[in-house]
Amino acid sequence: VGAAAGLTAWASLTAGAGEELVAVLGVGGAAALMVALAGRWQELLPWAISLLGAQYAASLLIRDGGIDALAPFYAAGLLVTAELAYWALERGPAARSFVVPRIGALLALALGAAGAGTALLAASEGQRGGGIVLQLLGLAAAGAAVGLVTSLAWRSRAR
Amino acid sequence: VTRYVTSKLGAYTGLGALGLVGALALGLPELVVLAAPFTLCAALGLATAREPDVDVALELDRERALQHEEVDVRLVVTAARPVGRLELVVNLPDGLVVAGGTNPAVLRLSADEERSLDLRVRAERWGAYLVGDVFLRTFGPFGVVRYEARLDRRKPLKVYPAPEAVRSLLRPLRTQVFSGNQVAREKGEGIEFADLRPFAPGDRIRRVNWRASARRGELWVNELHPERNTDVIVFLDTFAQARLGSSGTLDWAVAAATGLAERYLKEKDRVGFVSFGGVLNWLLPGTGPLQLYRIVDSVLDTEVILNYAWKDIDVIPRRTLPPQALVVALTPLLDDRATDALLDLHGRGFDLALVEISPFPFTERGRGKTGELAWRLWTLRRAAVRARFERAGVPVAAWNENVPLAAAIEEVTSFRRHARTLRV
Repeated sequence: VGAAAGLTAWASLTAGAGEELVAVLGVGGAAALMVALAGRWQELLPWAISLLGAQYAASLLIRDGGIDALAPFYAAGLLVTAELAYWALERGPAARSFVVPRIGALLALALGAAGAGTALLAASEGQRGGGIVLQLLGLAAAGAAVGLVTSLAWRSRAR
Repeated sequence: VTRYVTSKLGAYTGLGALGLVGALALGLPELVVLAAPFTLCAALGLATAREPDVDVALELDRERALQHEEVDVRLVVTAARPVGRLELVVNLPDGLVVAGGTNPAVLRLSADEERSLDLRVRAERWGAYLVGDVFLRTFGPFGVVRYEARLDRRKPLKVYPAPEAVRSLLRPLRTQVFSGNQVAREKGEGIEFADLRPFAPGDRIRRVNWRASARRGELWVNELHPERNTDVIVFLDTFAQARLGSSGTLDWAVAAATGLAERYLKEKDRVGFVSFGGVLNWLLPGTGPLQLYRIVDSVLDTEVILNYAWKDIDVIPRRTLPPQALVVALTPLLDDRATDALLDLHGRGFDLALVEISPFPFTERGRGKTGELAWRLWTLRRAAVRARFERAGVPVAAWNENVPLAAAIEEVTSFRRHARTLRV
């Protein structure tokens, strides 16, 4: 919840004029996260993370400027928030010997996410205005991802 | 091993898809950066997940224990491949609880590592158990895939009821022909004095009572009671039981049955066992320590199984109830079928004694006027059932938490000593 609050503050402060709208989305995300953690309601977690992502998207739309160079760090923060939330909801005994390696793995994951994000951002800078082919390719990728979600949901329902 | 996808996989893929669609719709490449880590985690988690190769061996330090005793369980876990987080739980049957060690346990295992886990299990209730239903759970990388396995490593554990202390035994009205420790009513070769009678040709000189002979001026001899054995049938009514929490009338009855069987067998009597209820279970009378083990094993199989079929005494095999046997019935008097069967046994000439396992400690009074009335009706009905037995000349002793079993046995003995059937 602390990480979510930090992300909310970050997005609100960098939003500029419409910071209230951004803050509302962020607070909504943090509140949803808190409810999910308090009620051990795992299904609510993606919605909370989505709201935090939507808050960032709103801040990008509101403010005037080019590509946000700090986006990879926000992405890493969002991933760490999601991982911490899922960790908090894990059942079973939490042995102390597992905590330190897991925190290390989480930091490595955050660094990896930030690195991958930076690489993607650099690639997008190079391909800016790439044309209809790349747009279609992106659409197909997004469609494939949605299809995968649907198939996974179907499989989990069938079990 | 069964593989499941976790809800996290769906969530991460969904978040990734949402970011990609949002990036396309809004023309914001930053959202692709936001979505990428989630999509990568999901994809890498699926691609690198491998089925764990874990095995568990289970050992019990013994196969038999007494109720409330503790048994050590050792689990040896081996992994052919490294396992980051292995959750292991031994599913203990009802009646067994963990007294020491951790269950469930979490382990980290490297390749070809062997790890031992020690559990201490306390037997809260008697019974025949199978210990070793082991559940394993591991997660793939990024927690998007879950592997679960159930290993059947069950080993038998027999928990014998702690026998109820019985100091004095109920003496039978009639004995059998073999020698034992019960004083027979008949006269013959024995130790206990029975009567005096005039000397008859063939009597041994050592039987002559010289003091009585001197007083009467002719030879008189002592008559003696021989020591014989007896047949005792421990009759357990398992039609119904009253239960509150972890204890019930059946547990008390089982403890009493074990204690009585042990004591009678020590007295060289032949002891049989009948569990009369939803399921009929019987054991032919026998003697010796082996018979005690047989009885205790039969007792372990005893349970109350709901059954509406009307059963009478005819369903019990004839050889199980030898003529002139003493039948000690342990019953909560909750089912009319048991009542009728016991009265039928008495009518057929069996020497019957009833130990009523009181259900009152396991029942709660009804609330309100209706509840109070129902309680009073129930207690009156029980009193009527007891009166039926007493009118028939069957001794009934109530055994509850305030009365030791020995006192209940003494009550039966006293009834038999003083009660007389009046025929008018």
